[in-house]
Amino acid sequence: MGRRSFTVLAGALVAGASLLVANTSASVAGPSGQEQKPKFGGTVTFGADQEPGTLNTFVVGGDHLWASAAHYPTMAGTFVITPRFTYAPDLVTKVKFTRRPFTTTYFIKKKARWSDGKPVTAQDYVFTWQTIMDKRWNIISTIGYEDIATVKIINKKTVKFTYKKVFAGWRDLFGEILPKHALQGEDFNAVWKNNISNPKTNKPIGSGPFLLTAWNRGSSMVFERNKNYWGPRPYLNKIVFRFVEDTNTQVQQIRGGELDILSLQPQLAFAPLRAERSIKVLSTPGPGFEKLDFNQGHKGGGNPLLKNKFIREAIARGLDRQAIVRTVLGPVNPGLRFLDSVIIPQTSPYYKRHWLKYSFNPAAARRLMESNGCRRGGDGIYVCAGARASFRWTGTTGNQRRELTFEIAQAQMKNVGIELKAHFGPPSVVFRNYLVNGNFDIADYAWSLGSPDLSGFDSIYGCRTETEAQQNNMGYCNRQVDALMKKVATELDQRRQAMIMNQALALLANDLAILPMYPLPSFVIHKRTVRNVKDNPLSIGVFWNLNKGGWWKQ
Amino acid sequence: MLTYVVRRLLLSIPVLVVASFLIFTFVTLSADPLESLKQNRLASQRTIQKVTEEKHLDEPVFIRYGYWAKDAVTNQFGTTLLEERPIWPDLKRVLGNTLQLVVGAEILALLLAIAIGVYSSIRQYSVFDYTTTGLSFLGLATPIFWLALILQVVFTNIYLKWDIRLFYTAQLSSVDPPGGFGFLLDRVQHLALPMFTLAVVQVASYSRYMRASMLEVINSDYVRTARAKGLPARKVIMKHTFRNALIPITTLVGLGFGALFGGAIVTETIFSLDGMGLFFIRALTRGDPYPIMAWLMVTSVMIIVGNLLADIVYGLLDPRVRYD
Repeated sequence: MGRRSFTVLAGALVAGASLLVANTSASVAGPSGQEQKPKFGGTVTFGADQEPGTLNTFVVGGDHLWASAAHYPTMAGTFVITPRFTYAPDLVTKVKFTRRPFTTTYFIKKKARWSDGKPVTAQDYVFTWQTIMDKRWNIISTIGYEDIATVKIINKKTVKFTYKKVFAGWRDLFGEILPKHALQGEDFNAVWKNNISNPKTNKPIGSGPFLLTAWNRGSSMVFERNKNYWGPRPYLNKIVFRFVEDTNTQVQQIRGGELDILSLQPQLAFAPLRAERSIKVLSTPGPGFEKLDFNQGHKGGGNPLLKNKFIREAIARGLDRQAIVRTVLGPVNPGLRFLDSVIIPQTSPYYKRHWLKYSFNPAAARRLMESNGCRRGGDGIYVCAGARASFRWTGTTGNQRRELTFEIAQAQMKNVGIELKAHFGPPSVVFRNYLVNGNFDIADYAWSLGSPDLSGFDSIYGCRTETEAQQNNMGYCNRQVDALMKKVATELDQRRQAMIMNQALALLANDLAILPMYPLPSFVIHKRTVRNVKDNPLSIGVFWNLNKGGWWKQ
Repeated sequence: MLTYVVRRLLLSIPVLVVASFLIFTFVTLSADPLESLKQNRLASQRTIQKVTEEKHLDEPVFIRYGYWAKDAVTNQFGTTLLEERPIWPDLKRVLGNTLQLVVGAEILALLLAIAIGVYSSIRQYSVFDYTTTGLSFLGLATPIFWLALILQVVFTNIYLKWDIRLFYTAQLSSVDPPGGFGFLLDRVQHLALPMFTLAVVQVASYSRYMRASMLEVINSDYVRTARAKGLPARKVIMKHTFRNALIPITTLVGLGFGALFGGAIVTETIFSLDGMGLFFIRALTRGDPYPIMAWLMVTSVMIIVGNLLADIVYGLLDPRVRYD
């Protein structure tokens, strides 16, 4: 063989070998940038930290996170709230509403049916309303339903409700529809204690992609695919809830593959899980907002100094809220930012930073104190009109986030000449005693928005009377804020609702009645073998996309 | 003896009544079963008022205690306050689960502790004796919750490194356990870690008692006489020493056995075992006094009966003891 022939042959061999290696690599790694195709079948095990006592979420005793969680895969509703805080139709093709009079007309999907084959009809909507309003049953909340004056069944799949007055939260009504053919004539207080089934046949019932087929008390709940589901076929055959109380145990179980998904309160102890290769961590700023309430004299309590805005502003200026967020929640959600507003979620396009003017500036805090006649004592704490700037910081025991927040805040406040003293207690004592009786100065706790609807916060930030704003424990009253928040409840357009709320929040920020701290993020941990898990920071959590196929197992 | 037994049982009744009233009072005054509902800003005030009246939550404590006592006696401890679930079926279930755990742990602990105690006493001041003494104190000092968590981490890491599932970290069994021998194996794999956790402290405690008891008997006159008579060492130990040294251990186990029915609260919580301890914790978290009272009554009766049995057995084993 001549040299030229050898060179050509060698070159061909090398090229061929390269192609072979490249092909092999490509077939192992898969074509880059493409998702694997979803597979049907398999079981996903979900860790639940508490077992509910009953599964009837409408009545007293059923207001339990995991009772609701059992309904998400099994019972469809009018809308599903997406992670973007929008309402996506589920059981309906559309809902029409009119303003005067205020009416809502539901157009139920033709194919929507129960697991026993019977269609979901207008009768089921009417039955749901009637059941909720029936005084015999211990219904937890009738808000919105009590405003319905009359109902008209237009056809089998269309129903129209006429209201006594405008109710802005109408989209949150009929979040779950009850099966009339199964529950009519039953004692509603007694149904669904141990299952979600038709009491007349004892068979599981539902309108969602799964059915609750077994509840092994103290151990697990088993949900199997609803073969009669009218929507896209779910990928999984089974979902299992396993009741594991201890959080550390849950973490070991997901590491060891005994659990596939966990949805937890974010804690620093979970931060190392981000480094585990087999586990994926999802964390999204949620609608819950942690804030500080300043007691301005509720029931005669609170430190009188807090009635002065300059004191509240000095506290706000002295707190490095981003440092607090970084320490308390940074390891679990590195990108989390502190809040400069409340109620409207940080991820909402309507979010405005009304509290931006109170950004961290300890020098400004000290100037504020001194320009208002306060003088620093020998211990470094300001004395204002004979009173030491010393305040109780109220929080709930057993909450690592809040305890750590206090420690950081105490050190930061000392720097600006303000003393903070711990005033912690169990949640029942804090919420049923300290706050209610005005026995606090600064309280650190959270409220949450349950849905994109912004109404209802007049009960917290409105002017307190004998019957109104019963959850305003701050002694705060601004008539304009009160009026605007009440107006929010009657505004049907979401954009205009947000605009009115922002007007109220601007005034609330100006008064500095509260100081926003940070959004409460969701925290979902799942094995990487479980795909299509998409976080939703609202209570529905990762179950929100089960009606579109949901999770699948690699 | 019969008079003694009857008198003990009759005296227990007022003790039970007083204890139940005190516990009921503490629980009802410290927790509100409607707490989470009242914190819900959307909750219907009419419903809260209706349920408060239906469940007598606005009545004085002693009246509410009366309602509970009536339910306890006539309706197998009644139902949970809000969900109205019958309590007795749940209690029976968790009692059975706790028995599996504690009986297994006790047997394991006793077998190990007796062997260690006997050998330590025979080889007093030996390397084995000093080692087991040190380990006993370590076992006694080890917090149960720490040991439980460490065991979970260790066996999870074993699984992750070698893909071998030796033991599970929580619960009583898998979701779909196999049948027959597979079910038994599955149960053992689930109970092994909690049993070992409980047994560690018991082994430490029992082995010390066994050693002390053996040493006391070994040094007694009749054992010295037996040796002097030329009896083989094995016979001296097993026939004359061991059986007499067991008496204090027997009564110790009897006294503690009743309390075991209350469930190992920490262990059951960490390993999520559906037992008496977790039942109690769940009821306490919900602020529902009815299941707590049922738990209390069952546990109290078991303790009273256990103590009584221990006294009776002690009297039977030691003819010098007589009860009037």
